[in-house]
Amino acid sequence: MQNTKPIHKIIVAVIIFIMVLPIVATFLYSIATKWGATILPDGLTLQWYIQLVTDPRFLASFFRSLFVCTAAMLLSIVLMVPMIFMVFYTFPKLKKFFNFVVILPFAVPPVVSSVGLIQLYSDGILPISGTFWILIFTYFTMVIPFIYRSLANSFTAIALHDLMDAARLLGASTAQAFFLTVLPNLKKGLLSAVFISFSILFGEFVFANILVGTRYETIQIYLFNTRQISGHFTSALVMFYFAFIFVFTFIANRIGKRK
Amino acid sequence: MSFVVVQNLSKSFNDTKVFSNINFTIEQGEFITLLGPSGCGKSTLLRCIAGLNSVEDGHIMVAGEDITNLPPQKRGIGMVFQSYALFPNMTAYDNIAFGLKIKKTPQTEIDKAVREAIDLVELNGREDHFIDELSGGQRQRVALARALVVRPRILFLDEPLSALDAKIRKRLRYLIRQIQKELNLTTIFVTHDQEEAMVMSDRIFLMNKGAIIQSGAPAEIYEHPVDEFAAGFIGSYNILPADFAQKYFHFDGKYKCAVRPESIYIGKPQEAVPGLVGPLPATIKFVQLLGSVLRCTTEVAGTEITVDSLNLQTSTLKDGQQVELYFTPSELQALNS
Repeated sequence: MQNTKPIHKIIVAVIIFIMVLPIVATFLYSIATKWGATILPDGLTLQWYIQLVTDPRFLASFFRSLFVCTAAMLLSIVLMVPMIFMVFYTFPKLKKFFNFVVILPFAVPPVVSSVGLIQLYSDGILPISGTFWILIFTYFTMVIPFIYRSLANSFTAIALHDLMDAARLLGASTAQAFFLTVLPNLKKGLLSAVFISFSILFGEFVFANILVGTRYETIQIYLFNTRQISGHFTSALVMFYFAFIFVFTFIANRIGKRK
Repeated sequence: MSFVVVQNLSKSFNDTKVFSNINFTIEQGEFITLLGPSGCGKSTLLRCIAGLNSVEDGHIMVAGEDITNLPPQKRGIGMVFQSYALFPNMTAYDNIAFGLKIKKTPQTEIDKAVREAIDLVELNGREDHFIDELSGGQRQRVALARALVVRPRILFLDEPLSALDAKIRKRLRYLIRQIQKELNLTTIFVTHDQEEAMVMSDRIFLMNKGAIIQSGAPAEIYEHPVDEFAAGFIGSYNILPADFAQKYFHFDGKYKCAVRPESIYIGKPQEAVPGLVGPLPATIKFVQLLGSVLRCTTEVAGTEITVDSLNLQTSTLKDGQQVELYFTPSELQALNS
């Protein structure tokens, strides 16, 4: 680090303080017996956490979220990786079209698109409205922009055609060339796309609430439904959720760094 | 029958013709250079022979086998790319071993072959490095070893030295030629650098606008360019207009005259030259020092003539100096205009 002036440190410290404060406060609240008109809690307890992890409804909702998010991620990777490969390798002219298409999930507000999704999936060939299937497919569309952008950057960064040509001239089939020489170079981009997408999906509430609600209680729906029990309990739930995302990101980062 | 036979090969992208009716033969062990300016179709021609691009028409035969419609992996062609095209997720060793692994060669044989290839390209001690830890010259050596280790029938080099700096380029030129001779490997080299082509090749195919306009040994092409383009591209020939050639060299007015800068004398030559043409009074516009050579740009009656002479200590040529030029008649070549 060059030229670190005190002012730089102060700015960074203030920002970190602002960002960490709510988490610390939530954590304190989650281990407090009672926290009313005092600066610090009256007493400390783990009862909220015990209550949380012994609630079968909580564990069920946690695993539902885990399942739906993982399924959506897998679906998006399985569909998007070959598709983006085809766009970059065979139909580069489609890049412009996709650059436009991937903005759509952002452009339409969830409240609007969920109505369309319910209409689309209520009858017709795929009546999956109200089941977790609709959530998986909706979540898939939500993460398309992240997966596309991140993979597109990775594809741009490697000399795709030259790598494929070189591998094929050395005797590899197109599939071998892709799996052995292209895919390993996408790992970093893919992982970063997966972290961000997974974190977003895990915290998703609007679609989950409107599309399936209590019929398939995800962790965010559970959080919403149990908000009346106690603020301490909700804080414990939020802390648990934070910790999970943190550990997940940490592990994924470690995997990403290994060569 | 020749080792490589290319017959009536044609290729276009959409409606743009890249090349058409290309015909040539190559003998086993020959080092051939496709030389031409960028956009002349030389790289596309190479890619078509390698099977990386399709062709509309024509045939490619290697060792008597028609490979026109074979996929690239079945053609037995090794290729080195300008961009190296090395696999960034692998070490130098794994890059070189890739082709053998795909062919399911036993590990002991892979190891032996890769070690040999590393020796051949003088890359010892670098085999465990990842590609981004190697210099440009080292990367191109890995690429060369990777192409050689699978024992290709033909080696293709697509401007392999263009991205390297001059010193490494000269070193690799020599290394490539040495290895090629040692393995008696039929090689097609693509470049836009005439010096590279002259130094390395057994034969040069000079390309322009999608056609091979001249082929032959480097000296032959250099000394007897077929047309104005060849004369301009292969050497730094002076192309003198037809009326100039008529007035001073007694040409019949239909032909331009090509004359090499190093064949012109400034001042009367000391040795006896039969039929010496001159003197032509000239003014030196400027003198450039190219190391061992002094390049004088002179003007004779409004026409620029470049003259190269050895940079001797006795040289006293200066900008603006009045001099006399002399020409050897056998060096004055008539060109179709």
